[in-house]
Amino acid sequence: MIRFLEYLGCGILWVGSMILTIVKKNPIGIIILSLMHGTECVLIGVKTGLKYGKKLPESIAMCMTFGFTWWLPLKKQIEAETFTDADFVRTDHDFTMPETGVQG
Amino acid sequence: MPAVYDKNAVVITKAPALNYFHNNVTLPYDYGMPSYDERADVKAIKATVRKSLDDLDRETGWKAKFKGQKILVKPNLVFVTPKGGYRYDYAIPQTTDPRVFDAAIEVLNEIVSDIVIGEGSGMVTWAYAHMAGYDRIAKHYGAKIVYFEEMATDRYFCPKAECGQEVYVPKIISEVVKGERLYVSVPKMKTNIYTGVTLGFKNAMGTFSCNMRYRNHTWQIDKKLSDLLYLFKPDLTVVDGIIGGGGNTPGPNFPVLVDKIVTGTNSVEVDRVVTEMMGFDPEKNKLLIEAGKRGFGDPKVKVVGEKEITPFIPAEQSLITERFEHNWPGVNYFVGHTNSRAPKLTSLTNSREFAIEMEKTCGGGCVASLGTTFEVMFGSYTYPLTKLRHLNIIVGNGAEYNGKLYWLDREGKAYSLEDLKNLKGMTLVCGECSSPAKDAATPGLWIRGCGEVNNLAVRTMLAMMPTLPGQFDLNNIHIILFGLIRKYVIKLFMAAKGTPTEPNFDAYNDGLFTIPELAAKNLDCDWIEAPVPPLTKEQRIEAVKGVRFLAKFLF
Repeated sequence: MIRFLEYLGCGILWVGSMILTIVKKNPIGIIILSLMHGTECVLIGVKTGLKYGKKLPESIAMCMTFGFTWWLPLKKQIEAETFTDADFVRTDHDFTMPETGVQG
Repeated sequence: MPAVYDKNAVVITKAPALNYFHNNVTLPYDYGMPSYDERADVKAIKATVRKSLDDLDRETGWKAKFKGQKILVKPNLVFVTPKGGYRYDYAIPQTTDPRVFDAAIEVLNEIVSDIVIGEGSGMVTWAYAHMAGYDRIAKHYGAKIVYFEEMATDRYFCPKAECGQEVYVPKIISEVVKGERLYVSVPKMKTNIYTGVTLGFKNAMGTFSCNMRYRNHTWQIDKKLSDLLYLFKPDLTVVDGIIGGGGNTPGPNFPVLVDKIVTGTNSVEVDRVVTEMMGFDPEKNKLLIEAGKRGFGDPKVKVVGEKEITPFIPAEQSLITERFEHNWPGVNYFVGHTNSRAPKLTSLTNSREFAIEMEKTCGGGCVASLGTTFEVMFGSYTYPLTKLRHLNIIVGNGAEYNGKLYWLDREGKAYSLEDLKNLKGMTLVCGECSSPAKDAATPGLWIRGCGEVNNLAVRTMLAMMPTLPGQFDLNNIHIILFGLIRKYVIKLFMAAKGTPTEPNFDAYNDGLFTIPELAAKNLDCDWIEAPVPPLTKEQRIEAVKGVRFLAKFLF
């Protein structure tokens, strides 16, 4: 839901920028968004997308449209799901039983 | 033809003791990439599943029966709740571990010609399959994935059935029934509040559409599920016992480290062995008793491997427990039944044990559904807000004493209808049979229907507001909402076309859905095809009206 709202917010920014460009003949919004997203795309977006398993065109399109709202969750998921063999060693702390999880 | 084995076997295979908690509910992002196959947990699970199936083949020759066949593989997909969905520090182990499912499909894919993955979780299967990653597994192996609740149904009569004589199943199950497709059940090792355990053949509950599920979803549920074995049964069962689930499943359950994969060719025997491994006596499990009574077990089955017992927390099919009272101090509970199974009321003051005995009269019905619902609310982040909420719950048609009806509280004290009407706070009256107490219900809180779980859960949660069930995680709720709308639109469209995806809701009581008189030659059949005639215009309108978004509030 959070990601959906972020995408929605990004969409509103694009629509607002387009309206500004068409009505006020001022393309500043589109230029800023394109520059920001383009920079993110080159520096981290495409790299993250490819590592996540997305195809290059999809990575470019999504990053140019949604910027960090697209690549940041992917990056976080990659970090959370990248393991070494040490992460799979059984310990007593793999999970904690809830306090009233057992029968009274 | 379904696979017929000369001898049946159950193989128990131990997996290395690793930490399997990473991605035990949802597939990781790198599924299908080399890094996924290099993970220690994935390698261990794949090796264990393969060894178990190879050992089973040596005992039974199942691979020869499956060679070149078409198969339907059914996981046990319930809710998919990753860590953080509930206020526990683990992902809820209710659904077949997608890593185990993938490992099973990998082996099967080497043998068979066509794989269909099918499931009906009772809620929004598309969304949960997407969240768990089953759609990615299907794509990876070029298999088709189908969601049973979105499929047209076929009807069958099962003359030998005690409870479920008329059965509606999704079209693809007809291929299994007629022997055109073999059926592989891949359940999770877990307890179940309705049936004690839910394993290989109980997994077939997912082939029922909602309205078919609600029929006799009561004390008769064990009979109904066992009767389904007359129609079709698993040709192969692979039980995911890597991380099991104990407690009040399908509510959020508790992980149990088992580290086992159990495979077998006779699902009743597999379930019997696994039940024992979970620390329960299979001879006392009603579901297994019913299946055994119908002759679906195999006393000559060979068990390979060590039946090591890992105790599971049992499901509590009761609201008269110390745990429930501790967790929900504001919830009062009254139960009373008059039927052939209920104890006779001989006094207005009885014991707690007597109240429990009264409650057990229909343990697999509303009581179990309430237990699940309260377990969901208990695990949710909103629990501190709901813990002290006051609610009165009435179940049953009342126990008769001196010509008057009474309901017992937890300590066995009897309350008349007048007493119940004077209770303070909101009152929920559960189930169609409880209609004698409907006047005591707060408006909108008489839950009609018999065994209609969704309606009961939604209204109970409304009565206990504010509640946000843990499975509606903020990260996933848009997927669930989209899935709900998708399901609703597909079902509406199919109903309008005259090929409904389920029978109209008809569980207004716990009566049997019997079949018309049959010719003598049919009485000895396990099943008879009973095609439903094309729907008339009026019936189509009824079918469209009958499609429910979630629960119908203006019953």
